[in-house]
This record gives sequence, C-alpha cells and structure tokens, in this order.
Amino acid sequence: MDDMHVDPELRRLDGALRDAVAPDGDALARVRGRVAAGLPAGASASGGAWPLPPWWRYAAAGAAALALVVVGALGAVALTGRSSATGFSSTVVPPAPDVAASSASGASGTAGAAAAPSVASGVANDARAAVAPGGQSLALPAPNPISPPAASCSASPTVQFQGRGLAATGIATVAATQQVGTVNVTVQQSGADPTAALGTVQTRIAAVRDALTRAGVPAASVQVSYYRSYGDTSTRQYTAYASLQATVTGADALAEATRAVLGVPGITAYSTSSQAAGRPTQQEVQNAVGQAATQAKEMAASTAAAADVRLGDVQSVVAQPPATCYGPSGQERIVQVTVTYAIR
Amino acid sequence: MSTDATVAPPSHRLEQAFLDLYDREAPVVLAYLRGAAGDDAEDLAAETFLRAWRRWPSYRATDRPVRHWLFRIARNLAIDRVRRRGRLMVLPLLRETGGAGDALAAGVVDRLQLLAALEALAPDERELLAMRAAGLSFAEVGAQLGRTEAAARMAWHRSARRLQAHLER
Repeated sequence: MDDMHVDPELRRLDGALRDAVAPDGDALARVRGRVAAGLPAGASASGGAWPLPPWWRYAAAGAAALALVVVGALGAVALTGRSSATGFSSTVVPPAPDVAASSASGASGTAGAAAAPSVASGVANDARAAVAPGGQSLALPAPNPISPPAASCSASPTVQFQGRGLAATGIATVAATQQVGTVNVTVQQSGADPTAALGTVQTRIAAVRDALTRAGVPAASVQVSYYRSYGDTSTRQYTAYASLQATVTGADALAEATRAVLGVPGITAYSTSSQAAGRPTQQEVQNAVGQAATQAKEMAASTAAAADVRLGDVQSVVAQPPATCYGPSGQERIVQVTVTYAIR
Repeated sequence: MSTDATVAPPSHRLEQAFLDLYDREAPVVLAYLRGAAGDDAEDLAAETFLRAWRRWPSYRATDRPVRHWLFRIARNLAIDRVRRRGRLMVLPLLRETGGAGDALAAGVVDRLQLLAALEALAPDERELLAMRAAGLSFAEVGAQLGRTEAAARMAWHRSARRLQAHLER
C-alpha cells in the first residue's frame, strides 16, 4: 500500500480484499486461452481494425464483383457443355445430399487409391475389380477423421446421369460398437448457514465419487468442474452447489455408473451417450462403405433399367470420410460412396 | 499509392505481442473485475482483452498508459454487467481442494462476507476499492476516475470505512 498513514484496520481490510480478488493461475490460464482463441477470429472479423490501406473497401468490392462474373461465366459454360454432349444428360434423383460430408472432394479419389485393397464387401469389391484394369480410382475414407456435427441426417441416395456416365451415391450409417457416455451430477444446498450448505455439498460430492468408484469408474474419469457458493445479500440465504462429470466407455458401464450415482440421495443426475462419441474401428467404417457401395450399385442398376440404358465399366468409386449428423436416434456417423459407371 | 508508411508485421507477431501484453496486465485487470463484477470476472476479462485487440490501432495513436486504456474497457464492461444484474452475488470460481473441507468452507465464508459487504456499497465505492485491491496506485486510480491522487486517496478511505462498517453489522 502506498499510503503509510493508513489506519491499521483499513490496511488489514485492504489486504483481505487483495487476497479475495487475486486471480489464481488457473483463472488466468482460462482467460488467456479464451483470448488466444479469439485473436485470429477477432483479427479477421474486425477487418479494418488492423492497418489496412484506405482503399481496401473498393478493392474488396471489385474482387467480389469479379468473382460473381467468373461464377456466372463458369455456370454458363457448364450448362452449354451439358446440352451439347453427345449423350443425354438428365438428373433422375435431383437433390444433392445435405450432409456434413460434403467437404470430401473428388480429389480423394486419387489420393486414397492406395487404400483400395482394404475394401470389405459388396459392390466395392466388384468396383475394385472393374476399376483396376482401366487405371481408374477408388478412394476409401480413413476411419477416424470426424467432421464436427453440423447438419441433420437428411442425405438421401442419389443417381445422376452425367454425359455418358451414371453416378450413383449410396449412404450408410457407421455402426460403432463403442459408446462413450457422460454422467452429469449436480448437487445444490441452500440455507442460512453458508458453512453448513457447503459442507453438505462436499459430503454429497464425496458420496458420488465413492459410488462411481464402486461402479468401476476410474478416478481419472471423474471431474468436478465447478464448486461455487453464492448468497443473496438481502435475504441472507446462501446456496452452495457443485457439478461433477464422469466419462464412461461402453453402454453397460454407463448404465452401471448412472445407477450408482442415482443411489446417492440429494443429487440431480443425468447421463448422455452417443455412438458417434466413440471412434469407429477401421472394420466398422469398411462395413459401412460396403453397404453404401452396394446401395449405390443397386440404385444404378435399377435406374439404368428404368432409363433403358446398359451400364458399362466402373469409372470411379469415391467414398467420403465418416461425417457426423443428427438423425432420429441422435448423433450418427454416415459414409457416402459414389460409384460412377460408363454407359454403353 | 498507399499512404501507410509502415508495414504491419505478420499477424502472428501481433498476436504474440498482444499475448505478452495479456500476461503483463491480466492479473491486475482480472483482480479488478473479480472485485467489481464478481463471478462474471473471467467473461469480462476475456471480453476486455478481445476488445482491446480490436481497438489496438486506435490505442496506438494515443499516449495513454496501456493499463489506463485497458481499465477503461474493463470498467465499461463491468459497469454494464453490474447494471444488468440483480442483487444475487456469486463468488469467484473456487477450485475443489479436496480434503480440507473445513478450511475451504471457512475461506468461503470469509470471502463471501467480504464480497457481500463490497457489493452492498455504492457502485463507485466498490469500483474504487476493487481498483486498489487489484494493485493500482492512488495515482492510477485517480487517473481512471478523473480525480487527483489526493482525492482518490480520500475517497478510498471513505469507501474502506464504509466497507468496514458493513462487515461489522
């Protein structure tokens, strides 16, 4: 304190206040993480905040206009090309799949060609046999790259005639056997005595920990995420509460942990789980790819028959990586396989 | 064509420089916000520095001390937040220490009573005490509040005595 003549009582009070507000290292690290995470976005979002030349808006507007012109020109070229093709071109099942997997690109067809021999079953094997002699591509997804959940599972299989080819896309859900769940526990206690309220909460949290340990949940999987007290200064009512999360792998273990926690009185608990939270195995992804490829093959065959054309060799098979989406039963992972055939 | 005489350094350098600023000033800013805004302190501290990042060019054109400038941002955020909030007072985050339940509870009660008394003061008094508790000198507090150093010191004494009176009730 830079005032040497201050009342000793006030000096003590000032010291207590300093202790009360001094942030610990964890708090500083938490805020630092949030600030660091916000910097790049802040820099881009703020646009003119960092020194940009005064004419940047004109340049940006010009670039946008140019981009529109280029897009329009490309669209016109594409339409012209389609209408002048020697074969016919029509869309049988129009809407493009509306899934998060759309990020996968056709480039993966060549990039993933080396993985081709691991195709599991169904038409994927047929496709591989047909593709190899012609030097065409077959792409398989890696089992683990997971896109963030972004959309509902509204994708539908499609078949499209493209010039002298026919592209069929099949979709299948990756059936992961491993479920990862979280047991969430909240404990709250109110009263006129804050010490008693906090003590009660601590006791209950300890009981929850014990119950989880007895249920076989490792201590490292249990985390108390916050532990707070607050009071209403006008009514002198104090409330203490704490929150605990336990991460459990496997549906049975999750059920067991949830049962154990619900046996502790005076708490609120719920559990959540998702197949998509666990990583699928390579085999599970391959199975899904096989199903999607089979679906694509069957749809291509039936569409060709309906359109009275004959399918030729497979020209390419492209499988997109598993993508997460929200379906009727919650979060799911889906794969899409697009098989392109020549038309004789 | 451009009149900008200086070339902005790569963004990662700017970010690093800004994070260095954070490491230097965050303990003081966060301590102030814990006193002035309670449980919202971490939210407000993060918002303070993100706003500071966005306003960095306009700050560079001034000769104000960086702490003074940061506190202006933090104060405005804290005042807005306190206005919107009711009388409910929430303690800053307490980590579970494990085992020392009694000591933790006793510490909680002491801090609860102190911060409850702090909240019972007028906002300007609370703010002044929070600035001092964060480590600002009377000169810095005075500059922040538009007062002289002597006036800031006198105001702090008044506020501290009022806080003491609340604690003794």
